[in-house]
Amino acid sequence: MIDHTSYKSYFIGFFISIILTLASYYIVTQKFLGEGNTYISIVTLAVAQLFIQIVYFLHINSEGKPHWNLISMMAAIVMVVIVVAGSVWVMYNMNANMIV
Amino acid sequence: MSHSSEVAHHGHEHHEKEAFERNTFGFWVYIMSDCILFSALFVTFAVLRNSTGGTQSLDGLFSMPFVLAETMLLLTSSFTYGLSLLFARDGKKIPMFSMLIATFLLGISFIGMEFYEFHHLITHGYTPSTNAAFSSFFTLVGTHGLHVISGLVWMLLVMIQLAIRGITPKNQSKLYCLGLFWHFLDVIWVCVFTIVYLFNAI
Repeated sequence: MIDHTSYKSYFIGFFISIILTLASYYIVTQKFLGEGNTYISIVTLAVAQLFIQIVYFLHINSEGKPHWNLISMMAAIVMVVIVVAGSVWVMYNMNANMIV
Repeated sequence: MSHSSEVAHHGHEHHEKEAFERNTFGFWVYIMSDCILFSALFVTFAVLRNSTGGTQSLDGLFSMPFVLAETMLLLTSSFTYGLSLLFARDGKKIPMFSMLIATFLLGISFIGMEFYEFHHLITHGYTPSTNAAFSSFFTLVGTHGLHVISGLVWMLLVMIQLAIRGITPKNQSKLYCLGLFWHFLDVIWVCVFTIVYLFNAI
């Protein structure tokens, strides 16, 4: 995978990551969006940042066929989604149904 | 070079490439399992973040410029590590070492800041036993910190091996695996930065 990587890809990834980090920091500290919009925008920026780092730093897209790294990452993402969404769902309902 | 030795040389290279791909894939699978571990810690934090039982909450406790500085340190270290990988590939030994040393220093600074933050919290009476919110905070951020520390120790060992044996295919594969680990820690930190620190400041 490293064979086809250019110095440029790290510079691009680094530059975009810095911009995204500063943008989310600015949105949170300046408080010019409403609470709901702030949450939505910083989550969007974080997802964009993850995507950028996976493509430009981890080079998941540049491996040869069969894409085993990509496939194992997809499997991990499925498990992460089950763990996160499942836990939040269960715990939210449990809290909501508690007789306090 | 005779024909047979050329074939042998080619076969050797092919074998090395295969070993490299096998090693890095194995390490990648480990990283994916680590990803699942972190997802459990993140969701624990998300669930327990407001479970303070009437004691001190996490709200407004962290200095945002401090956390931004930590983020920038780790982000830059990921970048310099990437460059060192490419310098190693191109056989440029001095730039490779300087980038590795830069990465190491940035990583050490990051850990220093994290120790300072934990120390600051604990001396002000906010410990993991304060309440569930603090427990989950210290577990999540502390686990990431432990990963960074082990990454730094590993980096030191790889640098020693590179200094002794040079940029051999075996060392290159080690450097590449550590690179996957280091970039992965940066990816996890993006999530920590957003979910723990930014959410807390809204």
